[in-house]
Amino acid sequence: MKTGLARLAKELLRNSLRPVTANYPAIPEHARPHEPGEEIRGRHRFDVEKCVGCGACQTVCSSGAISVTDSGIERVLRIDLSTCIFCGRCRDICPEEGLQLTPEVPSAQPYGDILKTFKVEHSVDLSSCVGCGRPTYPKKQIETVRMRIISNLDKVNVDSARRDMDIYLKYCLNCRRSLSYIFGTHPRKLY
Amino acid sequence: MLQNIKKKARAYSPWIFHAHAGGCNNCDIELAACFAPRYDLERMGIQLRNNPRHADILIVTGPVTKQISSSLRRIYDQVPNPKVVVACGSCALTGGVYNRDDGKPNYALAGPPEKLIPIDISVPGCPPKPESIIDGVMLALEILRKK
Repeated sequence: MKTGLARLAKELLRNSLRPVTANYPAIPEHARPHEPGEEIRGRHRFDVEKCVGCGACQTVCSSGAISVTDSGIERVLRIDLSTCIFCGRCRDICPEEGLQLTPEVPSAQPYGDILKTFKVEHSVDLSSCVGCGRPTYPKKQIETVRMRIISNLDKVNVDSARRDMDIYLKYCLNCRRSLSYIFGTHPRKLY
Repeated sequence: MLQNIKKKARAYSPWIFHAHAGGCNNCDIELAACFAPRYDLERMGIQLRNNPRHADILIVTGPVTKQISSSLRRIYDQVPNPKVVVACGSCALTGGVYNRDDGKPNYALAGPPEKLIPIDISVPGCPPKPESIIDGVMLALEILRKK
Protein backbone atom coordinates (compact mmCIF):
# COMPACT_ATOMS: atom_id res chain seq x y z
CA MET A 1 0.00 0.00 0.00
CA LYS A 2 2.70 2.39 1.07
CA THR A 3 4.96 1.59 -1.82
CA GLY A 4 2.05 1.87 -4.23
CA LEU A 5 1.19 5.36 -2.98
CA ALA A 6 4.82 6.36 -3.14
CA ARG A 7 5.06 5.14 -6.73
CA LEU A 8 1.88 7.03 -7.60
CA ALA A 9 3.21 10.24 -6.05
CA LYS A 10 6.49 9.82 -7.95
CA GLU A 11 4.59 9.30 -11.21
CA LEU A 12 2.39 12.34 -10.55
CA LEU A 13 5.42 14.50 -9.79
CA ARG A 14 7.19 13.38 -12.94
CA ASN A 15 4.12 13.93 -15.11
CA SER A 16 3.56 17.41 -13.70
CA LEU A 17 7.12 18.41 -14.58
CA ARG A 18 7.15 17.36 -18.24
CA PRO A 19 4.44 17.01 -20.89
CA VAL A 20 3.40 13.47 -21.76
CA THR A 21 1.23 14.04 -24.82
CA ALA A 22 2.90 13.68 -28.21
CA ASN A 23 2.65 16.74 -30.43
CA TYR A 24 1.11 16.65 -33.86
CA PRO A 25 2.77 16.83 -36.34
CA ALA A 26 6.02 18.15 -34.82
CA ILE A 27 7.41 15.91 -32.10
CA PRO A 28 9.88 17.33 -29.57
CA GLU A 29 12.53 15.13 -27.99
CA HIS A 30 10.89 14.62 -24.61
CA ALA A 31 7.54 13.40 -25.94
CA ARG A 32 8.55 11.32 -28.92
CA PRO A 33 6.49 8.18 -29.43
CA HIS A 34 8.40 4.94 -29.16
CA GLU A 35 10.81 4.33 -32.03
CA PRO A 36 9.60 1.70 -34.46
CA GLY A 37 11.76 -1.30 -33.66
CA GLU A 38 12.70 -4.22 -35.87
CA GLU A 39 9.50 -6.02 -34.95
CA ILE A 40 7.21 -3.31 -36.33
CA ARG A 41 5.58 -4.75 -39.45
CA GLY A 42 4.70 -2.19 -42.10
CA ARG A 43 4.86 -1.80 -45.87
CA HIS A 44 6.39 -4.76 -47.74
CA ARG A 45 9.57 -4.60 -49.78
CA PHE A 46 10.65 -7.17 -52.36
CA ASP A 47 14.39 -7.75 -52.60
CA VAL A 48 14.85 -7.54 -56.37
CA GLU A 49 17.95 -9.75 -56.38
CA LYS A 50 16.78 -12.40 -53.94
CA CYS A 51 13.11 -12.87 -54.89
CA VAL A 52 12.67 -15.78 -57.32
CA GLY A 53 8.92 -15.40 -57.80
CA CYS A 54 7.95 -18.86 -56.57
CA GLY A 55 4.65 -17.59 -55.11
CA ALA A 56 5.02 -19.21 -51.69
CA CYS A 57 3.90 -15.96 -50.08
CA GLN A 58 0.58 -16.18 -51.88
CA THR A 59 -0.18 -19.67 -50.57
CA VAL A 60 0.12 -18.66 -46.90
CA CYS A 61 -1.43 -15.18 -47.08
CA SER A 62 -4.18 -15.20 -44.44
CA SER A 63 -6.29 -12.41 -45.89
CA GLY A 64 -5.75 -13.11 -49.59
CA ALA A 65 -3.91 -9.86 -50.15
CA ILE A 66 -1.14 -11.34 -52.32
CA SER A 67 -1.98 -12.23 -55.91
CA VAL A 68 0.23 -13.93 -58.50
CA THR A 69 -0.65 -13.32 -62.16
CA ASP A 70 1.20 -14.82 -65.11
CA SER A 71 0.95 -12.79 -68.27
CA GLY A 72 2.96 -14.31 -71.11
CA ILE A 73 6.54 -13.31 -70.41
CA GLU A 74 6.42 -12.08 -66.83
CA ARG A 75 4.91 -13.01 -63.49
CA VAL A 76 3.60 -10.16 -61.35
CA LEU A 77 3.41 -10.48 -57.55
CA ARG A 78 1.05 -7.88 -56.17
CA ILE A 79 0.36 -7.13 -52.50
CA ASP A 80 -2.80 -5.17 -51.76
CA LEU A 81 -2.01 -3.19 -48.59
CA SER A 82 -5.63 -2.27 -48.01
CA THR A 83 -6.48 -5.96 -47.50
CA CYS A 84 -3.20 -6.96 -45.83
CA ILE A 85 -3.23 -7.49 -42.05
CA PHE A 86 0.59 -7.33 -41.68
CA CYS A 87 0.86 -10.72 -39.97
CA GLY A 88 4.29 -11.43 -41.50
CA ARG A 89 3.59 -15.02 -42.59
CA CYS A 90 4.75 -14.23 -46.14
CA ARG A 91 8.09 -13.08 -44.78
CA ASP A 92 8.43 -16.19 -42.61
CA ILE A 93 7.64 -18.66 -45.42
CA CYS A 94 9.87 -17.01 -48.06
CA PRO A 95 12.62 -19.57 -48.84
CA GLU A 96 14.98 -16.97 -50.30
CA GLU A 97 14.37 -14.22 -47.71
CA GLY A 98 13.40 -12.01 -50.62
CA LEU A 99 10.41 -10.38 -48.91
CA GLN A 100 10.85 -8.02 -45.99
CA LEU A 101 8.42 -5.96 -43.91
CA THR A 102 9.80 -2.45 -43.40
CA PRO A 103 8.94 -0.39 -40.30
CA GLU A 104 7.27 2.20 -42.55
CA VAL A 105 3.56 2.09 -41.72
CA PRO A 106 1.20 3.09 -44.56
CA SER A 107 -0.57 6.31 -43.69
CA ALA A 108 -4.10 7.57 -44.33
CA GLN A 109 -5.12 8.56 -47.87
CA PRO A 110 -8.14 9.96 -49.66
CA TYR A 111 -10.32 7.02 -50.62
CA GLY A 112 -9.97 7.45 -54.38
CA ASP A 113 -6.21 6.88 -54.25
CA ILE A 114 -6.55 3.56 -52.49
CA LEU A 115 -5.99 1.28 -55.48
CA LYS A 116 -3.14 3.37 -56.86
CA THR A 117 -0.97 3.80 -53.79
CA PHE A 118 -1.78 0.99 -51.40
CA LYS A 119 0.04 -1.77 -53.19
CA VAL A 120 3.50 -3.25 -53.63
CA GLU A 121 4.42 -4.83 -56.95
CA HIS A 122 7.28 -6.98 -58.17
CA SER A 123 7.68 -8.72 -61.51
CA VAL A 124 9.98 -11.56 -62.55
CA ASP A 125 10.73 -12.99 -65.98
CA LEU A 126 9.07 -16.26 -66.95
CA SER A 127 10.73 -18.86 -69.12
CA SER A 128 8.66 -20.64 -71.73
CA CYS A 129 8.40 -24.34 -72.50
CA VAL A 130 10.54 -25.51 -75.41
CA GLY A 131 7.93 -28.09 -76.42
CA CYS A 132 4.60 -26.25 -76.38
CA GLY A 133 5.65 -22.61 -75.94
CA ARG A 134 3.53 -21.95 -72.86
CA PRO A 135 5.06 -19.98 -69.94
CA THR A 136 6.35 -22.29 -67.22
CA TYR A 137 8.28 -21.01 -64.21
CA PRO A 138 10.35 -17.92 -63.38
CA LYS A 139 13.89 -18.16 -64.77
CA LYS A 140 15.40 -17.36 -61.39
CA GLN A 141 13.40 -20.08 -59.66
CA ILE A 142 14.63 -22.69 -62.13
CA GLU A 143 18.24 -21.66 -61.54
CA THR A 144 17.81 -21.75 -57.75
CA VAL A 145 16.14 -25.16 -57.85
CA ARG A 146 18.98 -26.55 -59.96
CA MET A 147 21.64 -25.16 -57.63
CA ARG A 148 19.86 -26.40 -54.53
CA ILE A 149 19.24 -29.93 -55.80
CA ILE A 150 22.85 -30.34 -56.92
CA SER A 151 24.27 -29.02 -53.65
CA ASN A 152 22.05 -31.32 -51.56
CA LEU A 153 22.65 -34.55 -53.51
CA ASP A 154 25.30 -37.20 -52.87
CA LYS A 155 28.31 -37.03 -55.16
CA VAL A 156 27.35 -40.33 -56.81
CA ASN A 157 24.08 -38.97 -58.13
CA VAL A 158 25.15 -35.45 -59.09
CA ASP A 159 26.15 -36.22 -62.69
CA SER A 160 22.99 -38.11 -63.62
CA ALA A 161 20.77 -35.53 -61.89
CA ARG A 162 22.47 -32.70 -63.74
CA ARG A 163 22.06 -34.54 -67.06
CA ASP A 164 18.34 -35.07 -66.36
CA MET A 165 17.78 -31.49 -65.23
CA ASP A 166 19.46 -30.07 -68.31
CA ILE A 167 16.72 -31.72 -70.34
CA TYR A 168 13.54 -31.51 -68.32
CA LEU A 169 13.86 -28.03 -66.76
CA LYS A 170 13.29 -26.60 -70.24
CA TYR A 171 9.80 -28.14 -70.48
CA CYS A 172 6.49 -27.55 -68.75
CA LEU A 173 4.88 -30.20 -66.54
CA ASN A 174 2.62 -31.65 -69.24
CA CYS A 175 5.44 -31.95 -71.76
CA ARG A 176 7.70 -33.58 -69.17
CA ARG A 177 5.05 -36.16 -68.46
CA SER A 178 4.27 -37.00 -72.07
CA LEU A 179 7.87 -36.97 -73.32
CA SER A 180 9.64 -38.56 -70.38
CA TYR A 181 10.17 -41.94 -72.12
CA ILE A 182 11.67 -40.23 -75.16
CA PHE A 183 14.09 -38.16 -73.05
CA GLY A 184 14.99 -41.04 -70.81
CA THR A 185 14.19 -39.04 -67.69
CA HIS A 186 11.38 -41.19 -66.37
CA PRO A 187 11.85 -41.72 -62.62
CA ARG A 188 11.77 -45.52 -62.88
CA LYS A 189 14.15 -45.67 -65.85
CA LEU A 190 12.86 -49.05 -67.01
CA TYR A 191 12.79 -48.17 -70.68
CA MET B 1 -20.94 35.71 -43.84
CA LEU B 2 -22.59 33.56 -41.20
CA GLN B 3 -21.86 30.52 -43.32
CA ASN B 4 -18.16 31.35 -43.37
CA ILE B 5 -18.00 31.72 -39.62
CA LYS B 6 -19.83 28.44 -39.21
CA LYS B 7 -17.43 26.73 -41.58
CA LYS B 8 -14.40 28.02 -39.74
CA ALA B 9 -15.80 27.07 -36.36
CA ARG B 10 -16.66 23.61 -37.54
CA ALA B 11 -13.12 22.91 -38.73
CA TYR B 12 -11.77 23.97 -35.32
CA SER B 13 -13.98 21.64 -33.35
CA PRO B 14 -15.28 18.69 -35.34
CA TRP B 15 -17.09 15.97 -33.44
CA ILE B 16 -16.68 12.32 -34.22
CA PHE B 17 -19.19 9.51 -34.20
CA HIS B 18 -17.73 6.03 -34.15
CA ALA B 19 -19.78 3.37 -35.92
CA HIS B 20 -18.67 -0.18 -35.15
CA ALA B 21 -19.94 -2.41 -37.97
CA GLY B 22 -18.80 -5.90 -37.04
CA GLY B 23 -15.16 -6.96 -36.99
CA CYS B 24 -12.82 -7.96 -34.19
CA ASN B 25 -12.92 -4.77 -32.07
CA ASN B 26 -9.20 -4.09 -32.51
CA CYS B 27 -9.64 -0.84 -34.49
CA ASP B 28 -12.01 0.36 -31.77
CA ILE B 29 -9.34 -0.16 -29.12
CA GLU B 30 -6.84 1.82 -31.21
CA LEU B 31 -9.45 4.54 -31.70
CA ALA B 32 -9.92 4.70 -27.94
CA ALA B 33 -6.13 5.04 -27.63
CA CYS B 34 -6.32 8.13 -29.86
CA PHE B 35 -8.38 9.89 -27.21
CA ALA B 36 -6.14 8.78 -24.32
CA PRO B 37 -3.41 11.16 -23.05
CA ARG B 38 -0.64 9.81 -25.29
CA TYR B 39 -2.19 10.79 -28.64
CA ASP B 40 -4.71 13.23 -27.15
CA LEU B 41 -7.06 14.16 -29.99
CA GLU B 42 -9.27 16.27 -27.74
CA ARG B 43 -6.66 19.02 -27.50
CA MET B 44 -7.53 19.84 -31.12
CA GLY B 45 -11.17 20.28 -30.19
CA ILE B 46 -12.10 16.86 -31.54
CA GLN B 47 -14.57 14.99 -29.38
CA LEU B 48 -16.08 11.53 -29.49
CA ARG B 49 -19.87 11.84 -29.30
CA ASN B 50 -22.52 9.22 -28.69
CA ASN B 51 -25.06 10.68 -31.07
CA PRO B 52 -24.70 10.78 -34.86
CA ARG B 53 -26.87 13.91 -34.98
CA HIS B 54 -24.11 15.84 -33.20
CA ALA B 55 -21.28 14.57 -35.36
CA ASP B 56 -19.33 15.99 -38.32
CA ILE B 57 -17.04 13.03 -38.94
CA LEU B 58 -18.21 9.41 -39.08
CA ILE B 59 -15.56 6.78 -38.45
CA VAL B 60 -16.54 3.30 -39.65
CA THR B 61 -14.65 0.23 -38.44
CA GLY B 62 -15.12 -3.37 -39.42
CA PRO B 63 -16.65 -5.15 -42.43
CA VAL B 64 -20.38 -4.44 -42.48
CA THR B 65 -22.35 -7.45 -41.29
CA LYS B 66 -25.81 -8.06 -42.68
CA GLN B 67 -27.38 -7.41 -39.30
CA ILE B 68 -25.94 -3.92 -39.00
CA SER B 69 -26.09 -2.80 -42.63
CA SER B 70 -29.48 -1.05 -42.31
CA SER B 71 -28.42 0.65 -39.08
CA LEU B 72 -25.22 1.93 -40.68
CA ARG B 73 -27.17 3.45 -43.54
CA ARG B 74 -29.49 5.10 -41.02
CA ILE B 75 -26.59 6.44 -38.98
CA TYR B 76 -25.08 7.92 -42.13
CA ASP B 77 -28.38 9.65 -42.95
CA GLN B 78 -28.62 11.03 -39.42
CA VAL B 79 -25.24 12.77 -39.55
CA PRO B 80 -25.97 16.38 -40.60
CA ASN B 81 -24.38 17.88 -43.71
CA PRO B 82 -21.55 18.58 -44.34
CA LYS B 83 -20.13 15.22 -43.27
CA VAL B 84 -16.98 13.23 -43.85
CA VAL B 85 -16.73 9.45 -43.63
CA VAL B 86 -13.48 7.78 -42.59
CA ALA B 87 -13.06 4.04 -43.19
CA CYS B 88 -10.68 2.79 -40.51
CA GLY B 89 -8.83 -0.51 -40.87
CA SER B 90 -8.39 -3.21 -43.50
CA CYS B 91 -11.88 -4.65 -42.94
CA ALA B 92 -13.58 -1.33 -43.56
CA LEU B 93 -11.59 -0.86 -46.78
CA THR B 94 -11.88 -4.22 -48.54
CA GLY B 95 -13.19 -6.79 -46.08
CA GLY B 96 -9.72 -7.91 -44.95
CA VAL B 97 -9.60 -11.35 -43.35
CA TYR B 98 -13.37 -11.73 -43.63
CA ASN B 99 -13.09 -12.17 -47.40
CA ARG B 100 -13.27 -15.71 -48.66
CA ASP B 101 -10.26 -17.19 -50.42
CA ASP B 102 -12.24 -18.29 -53.49
CA GLY B 103 -13.61 -14.82 -54.17
CA LYS B 104 -17.25 -15.63 -53.43
CA PRO B 105 -19.12 -13.24 -51.11
CA ASN B 106 -19.14 -14.07 -47.42
CA TYR B 107 -22.63 -15.14 -46.28
CA ALA B 108 -22.55 -12.92 -43.20
CA LEU B 109 -21.32 -9.71 -44.79
CA ALA B 110 -23.12 -6.96 -46.67
CA GLY B 111 -19.77 -6.10 -48.22
CA PRO B 112 -17.30 -3.40 -47.21
CA PRO B 113 -18.97 -0.07 -46.17
CA GLU B 114 -18.11 1.30 -49.62
CA LYS B 115 -21.18 -0.54 -50.96
CA LEU B 116 -23.59 1.23 -48.60
CA ILE B 117 -22.22 4.73 -47.99
CA PRO B 118 -19.78 7.04 -49.81
CA ILE B 119 -16.34 7.07 -48.19
CA ASP B 120 -13.89 9.98 -48.25
CA ILE B 121 -10.82 8.87 -46.31
CA SER B 122 -9.19 5.46 -45.94
CA VAL B 123 -6.91 4.43 -43.07
CA PRO B 124 -5.07 1.14 -43.79
CA GLY B 125 -3.61 -1.30 -41.27
CA CYS B 126 -4.87 -4.12 -39.12
CA PRO B 127 -5.24 -2.44 -36.71
CA PRO B 128 -4.14 1.01 -37.92
CA LYS B 129 -1.66 2.74 -35.65
CA PRO B 130 -3.03 5.72 -33.70
CA GLU B 131 -0.73 7.98 -35.75
CA SER B 132 -2.44 6.78 -38.93
CA ILE B 133 -5.89 7.39 -37.46
CA ILE B 134 -4.89 10.93 -36.45
CA ASP B 135 -3.59 11.48 -39.99
CA GLY B 136 -6.94 10.30 -41.32
CA VAL B 137 -8.87 12.68 -39.08
CA MET B 138 -6.60 15.55 -40.14
CA LEU B 139 -7.29 14.74 -43.82
CA ALA B 140 -10.99 14.68 -42.99
CA LEU B 141 -10.65 18.18 -41.52
CA GLU B 142 -9.21 19.44 -44.80
CA ILE B 143 -12.20 18.07 -46.67
CA LEU B 144 -14.52 19.61 -44.07
CA ARG B 145 -12.90 23.02 -44.64
CA LYS B 146 -13.58 22.84 -48.36
CA LYS B 147 -17.20 21.70 -48.04
